[in-house]
Amino acid sequence: MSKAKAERIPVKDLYAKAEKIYPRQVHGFFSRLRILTVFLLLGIYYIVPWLTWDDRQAILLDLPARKFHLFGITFWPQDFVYLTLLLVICAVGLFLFTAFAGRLWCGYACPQTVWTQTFIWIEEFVEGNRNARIRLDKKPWGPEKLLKKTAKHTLWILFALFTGYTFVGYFSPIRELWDGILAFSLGPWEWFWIGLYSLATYGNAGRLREQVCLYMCPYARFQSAMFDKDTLIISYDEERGEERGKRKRNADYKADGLGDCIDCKQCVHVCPTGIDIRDGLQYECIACAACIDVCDDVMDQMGYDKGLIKYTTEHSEKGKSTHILRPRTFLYTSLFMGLIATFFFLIATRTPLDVNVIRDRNNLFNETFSGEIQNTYQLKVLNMSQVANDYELKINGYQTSQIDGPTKFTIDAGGVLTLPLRVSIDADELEKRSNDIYFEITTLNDSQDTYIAKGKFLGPKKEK
Amino acid sequence: MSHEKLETNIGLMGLMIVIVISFGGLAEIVPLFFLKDTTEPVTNLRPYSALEMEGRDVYIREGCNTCHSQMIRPFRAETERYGHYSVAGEHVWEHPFLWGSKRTGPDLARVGGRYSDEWHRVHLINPRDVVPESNMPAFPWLEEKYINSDLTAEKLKAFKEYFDVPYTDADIAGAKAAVDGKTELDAVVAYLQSLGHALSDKR
Amino acid sequence: MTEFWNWWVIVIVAINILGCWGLLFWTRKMKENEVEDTGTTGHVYDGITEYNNPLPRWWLIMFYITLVFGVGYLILYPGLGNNKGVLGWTQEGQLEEEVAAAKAIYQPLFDKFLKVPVEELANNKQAVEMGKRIFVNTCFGCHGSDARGNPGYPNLTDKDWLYGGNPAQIKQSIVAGRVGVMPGFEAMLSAEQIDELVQYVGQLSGNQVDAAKAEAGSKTFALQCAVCHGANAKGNIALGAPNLTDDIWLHGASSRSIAQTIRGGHNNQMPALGDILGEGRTHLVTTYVYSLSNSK
Repeated sequence: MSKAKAERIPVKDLYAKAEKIYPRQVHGFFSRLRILTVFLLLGIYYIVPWLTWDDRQAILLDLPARKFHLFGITFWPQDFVYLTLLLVICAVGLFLFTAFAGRLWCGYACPQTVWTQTFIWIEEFVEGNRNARIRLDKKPWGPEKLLKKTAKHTLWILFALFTGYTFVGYFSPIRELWDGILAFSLGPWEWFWIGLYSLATYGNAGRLREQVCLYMCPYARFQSAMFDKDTLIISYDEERGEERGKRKRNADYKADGLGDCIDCKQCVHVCPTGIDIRDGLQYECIACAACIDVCDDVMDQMGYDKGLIKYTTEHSEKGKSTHILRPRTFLYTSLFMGLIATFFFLIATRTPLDVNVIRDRNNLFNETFSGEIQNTYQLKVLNMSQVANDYELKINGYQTSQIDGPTKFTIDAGGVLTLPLRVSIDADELEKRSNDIYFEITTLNDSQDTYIAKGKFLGPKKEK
Repeated sequence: MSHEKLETNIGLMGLMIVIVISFGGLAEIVPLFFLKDTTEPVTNLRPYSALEMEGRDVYIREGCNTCHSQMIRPFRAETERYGHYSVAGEHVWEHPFLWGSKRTGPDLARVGGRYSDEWHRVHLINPRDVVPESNMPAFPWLEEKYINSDLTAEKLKAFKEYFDVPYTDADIAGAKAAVDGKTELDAVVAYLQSLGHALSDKR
Repeated sequence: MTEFWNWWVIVIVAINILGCWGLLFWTRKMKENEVEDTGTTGHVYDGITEYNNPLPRWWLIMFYITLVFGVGYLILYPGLGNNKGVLGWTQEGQLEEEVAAAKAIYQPLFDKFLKVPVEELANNKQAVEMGKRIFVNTCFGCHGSDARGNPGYPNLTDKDWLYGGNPAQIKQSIVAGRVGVMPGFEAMLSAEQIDELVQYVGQLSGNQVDAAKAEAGSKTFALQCAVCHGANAKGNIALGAPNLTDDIWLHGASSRSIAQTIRGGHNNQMPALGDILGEGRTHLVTTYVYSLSNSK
């Protein structure tokens, strides 16, 4: 027994406990830039659902009705291609900005960064700065700590709830939603989604923070594929900084063999992902430039040149010139511009009319008493515009075709009309069993928009 | 046993994977072999006729079951569209099952009687003639190839002897005559029209 | 399930859960002398080494959460052998709930029209539109989406009815279905007699025919056909025997088609839809079908 005890080998935990990071707030050019983007982006997010357009919420993604209202345009499920294109444009845009300026997205525009920043401000407002927060967390629980923690979480939760409410407001009219909350009369799903998005905001921005960037975000993980030696990165000038070390102000540190880095560790303290930028380029770095701001301050105080940590590229670090125009930036730019042009072209030429030809499926064809071949159809005509229109129907491609059914009709704005039709064609004009038939529908207004829908017309089997 | 031993020895790792996965099967699949619910036929079930049996073989050969399931799940969305949900007793004489797991096309468990024979012929020769938006491949050769009737009786016999499907001696004796001169198209259509017969009057 | 299989499932499931927990517990730590302290896993591929970074602790906790979830699931839902679970969930029960929920929404919409007689309801635009939708869903396969019929399936928009066109008769056809049987006469009549019959039937519809043959056909008709179609060939709605004196021909109007009908007969079936549709929807479909031939 005692022998076994003596031989016990210490064990190592294979799962690391997350170290809490206390980022210190910085002031400087880049941090002002970030504050600006935070206010701009959050401002857009919180204000947009309150805008109106023609007595309707300007942006309303009405999922139950399957209609997306974006200002003057209403998108139907048939317009899904535009949404796809929009998402492709966003993705290419992300690649483009990455190729030009590295992880600009992560540092300034990513919702994770933006909301985390807001949550940290709230934290700082309640608990004080970095040192105060560290002290508070080390203290045993007491009235002060309890009060501060409660206050912080309450503020966080309120802010998260407002965020969740705003998010749901994009999908369900936001004013009615507010009334519903006050009257406590929302349906279970609205409560659920508000709750879920509030929880996600609170969890991601309050609790998980950098863990999202380090372990969950796929964008961080494919950086190595996006970067080249001309990509803008944040880097510590090792040549100039080393040997790092403490020194007295005004001392001739160069004589002591020291570099410009005074090893104050400010760059580590401000880092929201808790890394040391002096270790070189790391996938954890979200390029927020907090270390640049803080280091520049320190350099100023020491009377050294700014830019020990700075935006640079690998090429420029090695003294070579940086190429802004290179195949990938050229390719991404042309792709990006091309897609945007395509998108606007498609939107501008979009016909607010959709026609579905549904041939009676079970029946093959009828023979009328006068010997013509007859097929039965239902035409579903969809008026996707925001006004009522008159339409006219005709059939292209056959001389003997006759429509048995209405050929002129009116459809209300956003309405669907089902037209039951029988079309007969002389048997001699049909060359094979299955023939293409084209229904042409013209809008009888100034636009004269025309939509041609293809269908099938079945006839008897022709012997070869 | 250390991780390293397991990770660097592919045979050992394979064995462990088989053991781990088989646990699910032991609990979920094995008991079903012995349950009344899953081994007894429903009352109206009849064995496939000789022609239907040949059609089923063509169905398997052409890989229809990779795109069409024959399994209606007990959800309202499915029972409204396809009819009564599938029950195990309808499939006890199926060897192998053609439940499928993927619906590129619609479920066929109760397609029997939904369309006319002629419709099925047109549809199988070129699906787009009757369903313009269909992405099903065309099977024009089915019309031109004739069933090999020499083996039909053997097939029925195998089902009778090995799987206890109640074919009579008369069924087996008449099997060749029943499929002689029939095309594969005839056989597949007959098979499709037989699907779901046991519960066709239920919703 | 028998007691044996019940315990079989319970034991295997228990082994599974405990095994997962054990595996997680066992592999969460490592003896320090087995860890190479190089910071990398020691794997090298093309000069690229792999960091041996630890997973975050919450990752392990998520694994444990899946186990807790699994146990909770087994308590709430059936899974442990014959155990029904606290919630008493079954897949059939879930389906029934779904169906009942849908019925609670739709049934009142249909049933509110039940009290209104069909003749009156046929003027209610909403009811007719609802009936039309049900018709298009249920009946279009045979009668066509415009209800004007297909070969062998009657046109429902005209005034000609095989089984009668008043609301009660239409409803009866929908609820209980109809079976129309015309026997084939190939074995009983000679080819010549059939030809004579065709001429006679053609004459009834006012076509130009061979008068002598038609005259001979009329005798055969009185003997063989009048039983169902009536002596005046006006049909019989009790049997669904069609009127042969108009120009509506369910199975084709050509002499060839008529001869084919006489030789081979027809066996036509309208399925019973009463159970499938239910009372409310049947009433609406009846209204729609009635409105097709009775609206202004």
